[in-house]
Amino acid sequence: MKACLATICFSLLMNLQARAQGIPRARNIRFDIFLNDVNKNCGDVFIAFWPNQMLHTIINYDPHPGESVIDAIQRIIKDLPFTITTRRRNDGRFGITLNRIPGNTVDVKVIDETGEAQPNVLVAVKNACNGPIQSYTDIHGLARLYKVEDDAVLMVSGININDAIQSTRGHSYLEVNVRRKTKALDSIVISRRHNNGIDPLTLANLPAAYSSIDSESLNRIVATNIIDHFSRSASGLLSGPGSGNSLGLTIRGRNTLYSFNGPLVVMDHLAYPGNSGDINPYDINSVTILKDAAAGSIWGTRSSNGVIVLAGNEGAYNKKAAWTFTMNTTLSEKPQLNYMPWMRPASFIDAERTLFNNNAYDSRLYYPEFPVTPALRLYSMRRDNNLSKTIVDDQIARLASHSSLDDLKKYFYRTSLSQQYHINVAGGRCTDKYYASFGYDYDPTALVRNQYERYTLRGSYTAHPFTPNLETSVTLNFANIHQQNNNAGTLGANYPYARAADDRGYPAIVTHLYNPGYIDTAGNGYLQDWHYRPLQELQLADNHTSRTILNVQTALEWRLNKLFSAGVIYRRYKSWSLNKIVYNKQGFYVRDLVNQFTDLSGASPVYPVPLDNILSSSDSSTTAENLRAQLNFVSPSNKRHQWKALLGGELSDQGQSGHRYTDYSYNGHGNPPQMDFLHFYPTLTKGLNQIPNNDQIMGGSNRYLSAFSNLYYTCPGSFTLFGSFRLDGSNFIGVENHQKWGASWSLGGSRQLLNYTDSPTKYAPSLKLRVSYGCNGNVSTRIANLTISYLGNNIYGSRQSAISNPPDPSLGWENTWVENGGLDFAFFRDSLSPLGRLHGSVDVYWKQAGDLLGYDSVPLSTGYAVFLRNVAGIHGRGIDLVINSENTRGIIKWESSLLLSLAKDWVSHYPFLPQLPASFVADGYHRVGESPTGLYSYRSAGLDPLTGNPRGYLNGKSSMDYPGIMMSASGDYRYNGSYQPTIFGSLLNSITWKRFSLSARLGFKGGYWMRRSSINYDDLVQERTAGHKDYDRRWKIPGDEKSSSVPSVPLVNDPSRDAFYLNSDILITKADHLRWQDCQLSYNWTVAPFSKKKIPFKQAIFYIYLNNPGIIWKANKYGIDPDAAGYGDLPAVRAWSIGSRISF
Amino acid sequence: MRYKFVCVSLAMMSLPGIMGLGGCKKFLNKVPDINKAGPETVADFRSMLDDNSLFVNSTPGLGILATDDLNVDYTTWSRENMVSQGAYVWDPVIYQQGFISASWANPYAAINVCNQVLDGMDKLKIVDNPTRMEFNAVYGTALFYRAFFYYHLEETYGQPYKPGVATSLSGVPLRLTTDALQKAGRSTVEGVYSQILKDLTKCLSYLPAGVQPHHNRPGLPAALALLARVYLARQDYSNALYWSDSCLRTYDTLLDYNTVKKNSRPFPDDTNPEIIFQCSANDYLAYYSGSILADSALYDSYDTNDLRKTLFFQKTPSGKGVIFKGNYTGGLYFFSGIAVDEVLLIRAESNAQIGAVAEALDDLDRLRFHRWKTGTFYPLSAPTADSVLRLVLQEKRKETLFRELRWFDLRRLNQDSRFAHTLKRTLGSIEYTLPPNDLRYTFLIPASEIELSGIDQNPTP
Repeated sequence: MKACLATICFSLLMNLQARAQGIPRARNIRFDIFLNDVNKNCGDVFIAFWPNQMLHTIINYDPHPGESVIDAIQRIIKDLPFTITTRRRNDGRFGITLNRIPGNTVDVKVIDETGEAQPNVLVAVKNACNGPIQSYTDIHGLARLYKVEDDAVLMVSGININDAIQSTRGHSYLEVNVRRKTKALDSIVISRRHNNGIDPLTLANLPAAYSSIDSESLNRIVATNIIDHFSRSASGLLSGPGSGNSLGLTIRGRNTLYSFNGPLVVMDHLAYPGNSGDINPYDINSVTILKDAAAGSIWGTRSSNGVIVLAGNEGAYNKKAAWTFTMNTTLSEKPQLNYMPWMRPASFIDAERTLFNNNAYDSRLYYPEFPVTPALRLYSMRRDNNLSKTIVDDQIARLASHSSLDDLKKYFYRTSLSQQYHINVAGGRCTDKYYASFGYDYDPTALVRNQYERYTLRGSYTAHPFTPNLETSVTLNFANIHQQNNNAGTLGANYPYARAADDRGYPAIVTHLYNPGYIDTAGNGYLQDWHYRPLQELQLADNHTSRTILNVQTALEWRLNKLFSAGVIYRRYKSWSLNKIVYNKQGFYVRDLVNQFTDLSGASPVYPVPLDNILSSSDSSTTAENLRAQLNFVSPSNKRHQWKALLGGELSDQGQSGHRYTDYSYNGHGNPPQMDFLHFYPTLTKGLNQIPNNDQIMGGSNRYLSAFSNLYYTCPGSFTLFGSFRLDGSNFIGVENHQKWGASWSLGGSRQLLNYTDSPTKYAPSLKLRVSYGCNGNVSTRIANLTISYLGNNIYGSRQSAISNPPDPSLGWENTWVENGGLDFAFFRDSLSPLGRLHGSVDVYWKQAGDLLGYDSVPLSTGYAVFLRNVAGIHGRGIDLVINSENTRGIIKWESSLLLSLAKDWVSHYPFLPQLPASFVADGYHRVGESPTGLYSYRSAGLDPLTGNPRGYLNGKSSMDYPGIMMSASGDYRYNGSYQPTIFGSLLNSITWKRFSLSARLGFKGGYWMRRSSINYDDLVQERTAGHKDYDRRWKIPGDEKSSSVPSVPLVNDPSRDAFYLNSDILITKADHLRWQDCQLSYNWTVAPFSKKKIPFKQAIFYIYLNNPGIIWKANKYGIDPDAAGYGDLPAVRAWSIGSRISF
Repeated sequence: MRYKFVCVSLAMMSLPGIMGLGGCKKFLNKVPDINKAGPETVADFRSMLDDNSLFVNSTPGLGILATDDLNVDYTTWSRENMVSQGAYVWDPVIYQQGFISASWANPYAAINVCNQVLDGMDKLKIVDNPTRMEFNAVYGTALFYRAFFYYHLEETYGQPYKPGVATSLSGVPLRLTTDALQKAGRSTVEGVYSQILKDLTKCLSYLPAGVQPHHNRPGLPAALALLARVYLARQDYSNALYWSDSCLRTYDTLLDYNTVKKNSRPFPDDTNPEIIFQCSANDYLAYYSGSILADSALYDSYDTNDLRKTLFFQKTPSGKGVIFKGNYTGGLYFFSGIAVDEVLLIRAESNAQIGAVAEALDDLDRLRFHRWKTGTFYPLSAPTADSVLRLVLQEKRKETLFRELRWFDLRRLNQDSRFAHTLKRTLGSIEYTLPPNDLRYTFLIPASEIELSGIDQNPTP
């Protein structure tokens, strides 16, 4: 570097005008011949050199207009082991002397796992301090490097291969084995080695079942959450409702019943303690999803449900700073509120009238303060002869003419426009590399007055400041999230004709918690206005949350000698979250509290609750510390048999703490007046009550101590063996020390069955077999010792506690044993499609999850109704199929990628045998041989022809004794199947024409069932919901039972009748459906590396993305989107995005 | 060379095992949630015994349903779950269903807490005196609670105590350890009673003197009163007399009903001096609906000057019959604890049973004095011990209805041919009867218990 600078300065000083016009273009010419030509053609320059030093150096030369000879020479020798010196010669010519630099010349051959040579692969010396030493391989996979030190480390990288690293160890010839990358989609291989090489056994070498998604595929999708960027692009991965965990994801079905069933998320080598939604997806370089036993090899703890490994972006050595700017805007359509299965207002009022005439509301009307809907008020006033029939009819007609959905649409929901911005810079010099980014996301959400805002920063710096053998790095992630939750999306009225605004647009009154008639007269004028106005509440609401996350990670990797290296990572994660709800003094919450506690017994009213703002806030923080140390061993690469091993340990401590408090008379100043939270006060309608105060302190910690080791052996070109062993200790489990520990291990191997070089036909097949077997662990939050939970005070005011966790000295880890067999295949390989025009993989697996926590049968006389112990088991099997094909090539390139997964689980052990149908249908107990995600229902015998009552079976006969059917052992019920898809997959098609590319993904979910919602008459009578439109299809007259399955309006309200009907098999529907998931049109303008055009960027991508265009086919004929099947669920909206990503 | 690598690698593989076994025990012993703790202090054990669920809805309560204290109509009955339906009409078949009966589960859950507390406290080391006093109070409480709940369980699910043959009768399973997986077979009735007496006798030396301000915490009078109740059930009247007398010597305050306000909850727990120990029975029928009627014959038996007639009862809104509201819990729950009136009546009965007529009448009059309108009280007189006994039992019937005691007395007194009583009730058009000493005086044990623990079910007729 210095030498170059000095030369350039010197040449400028000499004011050289020697032009290189005379030198012709040269292709693959020997350097000495070329120099002789230069000497001949350029009269004012003479190049001195030692011909014997040049013999085998082949060069290419393209003339650059206006370039001086010396610049041309500089350009040519850039990658060659020469230095130049210049001087003015006696003959007046300008003299250049070329001298060879001492050092080794190393020839490198790069071959893939099949032994095929890899052309156009960059081979570079890592951390070369005297300027970069690098070269590209030729068509024979050969590259020659000069000036290579004795113990240099070579980095090999290319478009189609995984990066590899190998030490030269003084050799002059090396073969580097690399693994080929399949493209995007469900590629077989992780894209690049990341971070400081703490995992020398890169996944590419493991005979494991995993999918990896590269940044290109991640970036195809527009979303703020990283999970959404890959949840549809890997086989075996299922997202959507019914997953039963906070991530909304399951990998290869269920492996647990009552513990956390979501995959473990790992970011930058360590389990991520926070919410994955806080991570900016544009800071993620690649995602790897580990599905089989090998997942436990490095991330054993809680790996039983699979592991998602997120690799964050980093810089690159010897690369100029590259800036990338990403921005997009998404227009989300207004939610389809008409999808709500609510009753039409006219039907609702009709139902109210019928039930009213059946005296169903009498018990509610008995209490003057109980809320009754406006229609019911009119009917009861009519009954009491306070209103004439014409007035009632007129008012009812007016009520029936209005739908709450219109007001919700108009005032509460909106079309939203969200934005994402992300800028990053990455680069590096020879001794360090860096990455820095800033991201901003803004999502106003579909609900008026709600919003989500996220700021993220990521910085990563890696350097080897003292010696190339010591690499240090520091990574920092920061996120700041603000959320407003002022709108719950409801009018607060449980009838479908509530009005948010009156005819003039002013906030209207709805029946909320009290009867408006009672409110108007209660308190003799001493009370606050007690009405509820949804529009006013919406404006006054102030509920905001802010969260700050700081995640700092430092790492050190030290190469001890030629065989061993050691690494240490320390991570400290801290998040602070603060939620504040300010109840405005004009809002209903405060007015209601003030009124309830108003004491009217004395001469003048007393108000124990002041009419002022109330602040209810909660804060929480999470601190996670991890320390991991690792020792790596790599056998010399020049041996045919290669060994790698690692040994490590990790300490993890994650603590939470938080508290909640309530401040009355809150107006932003300190020291609010002390309230009396202890006394019981008489309230107007709720008996004796204390002034609400939700003060609470929470906290806890999860600790893990782990030790792990991996061993890897490979015989290049033939087979690979892998083994791992790991121990994890947890503070949750076990009384005795040894019970706190859970072991996980795996064994695996792979063998190349067929190499296409072996059978030189046009199909060019290549087959590789992989097998793995092992055991992973999962831990629940239970502990083995007797624990009690403090429950606040008892009725005498003394502290009370209850047993929260019975002592279980035998408590241990849950285990999942997985056998995985996989076949990677490729056909029609050629130079244009090195992976094969048809390639993919098929994996078959069996798993046995054992020692799962399940309800054991213990007699009630033990004091426990049920006892959660390590007694249950789940068996499962499945297939993951991935097929990628290049259908056409040429001007129009059409590629397809198919993912198809079958996952079937069944409970294998479950000692607790509930005898009641309701235990399965409603309480979620399991039965051996049936899915852990099983759906159970009461067997229906249709409607009774005389009354329209639903009928079930009791003792084998049709019956209307609903408590008997549900709560006795002789009631009939059935298992309907899984509520989670058992067959699922997706098909991605993409067509590329010039710079344009169009892609669309279809998703399929099948082999599963859902429970439809329907009319619940008890909810109507109790005024809990706005009813269900099935009411219009109800049984009305005898004969209807032939065409309808919806029960009649009951003569006497009977909640058990609804409980039976809503859980009967008539409402079980096949949920299979085919969905058009998304579509992307992009324009990719990549500037060629040596393009002469003056374009200010390297790459610019412009795209339009359409998320969730809609369902194409569904098995149900009720218009239900199976991903939004619950009562009140709204289907995901269509969202249009437009965006660009520009790299400079 | 290759073997060397293998050796190195294998050695590295085996290291985690060594690390794990020698791992840091202290690091992993941290309790994961600060709101949960292994109970370690006397205060922790106290908080376990102060849990509302131990003294609210905790005694079986099935006995209340099966007595002649109450009546329900068919509509109310038909809406109830099968256990209360069956209990009401003494239909044992209903219990064969796998219903988790709170009457069985709640007392055993409470007994489990007592076992955990006793086990945990046995491991505590106490140093200073103030802690020792609190330790004793808590330890005594656990013993008392265990005896109290075993007594209620035995009187519901165990066969009635018959002097002389109790060792051959089936009682309820006794669980005295913390191990949920340990099997417990059925004990004999004598076995259960001797365990109860053992716990009660032991707790006498731990419990603090006097009635405790928090009525859920037993003091010495509570243990003495329970001993009297237990001996009464054993028909050991001299011992019942001894213990009831001992109890009343320490505490005998009665509430003058003339001072009680006539409202919907006339006997708030905190201002009722008669309560020695507070507890409530498991609720079954729709208590809140006001559809359980007190027996009309019983209601009619109160004199108009008897304040209980207005304080205990209130007319239903429809005017058909009366509802009981005289719960000593101060709320809607049925009282199943111990109060002075019961102990007074035990002493009176014991005196009457052994022929001490005057003493029996004294106690009876003392109670009645506090129950009758001022100025209308007149002392009772009776010529024979038998007639005094009848007066005492009649007074007990009027005084302690809806307290489970009626059921206990029926089981005991039916053995005496003078007091044998056939219960009758009509539901819809069907009439049900329960003759004295019927097998159905022992409730069936929930089917799941039989199935899971393999114990014998009670016989059915």
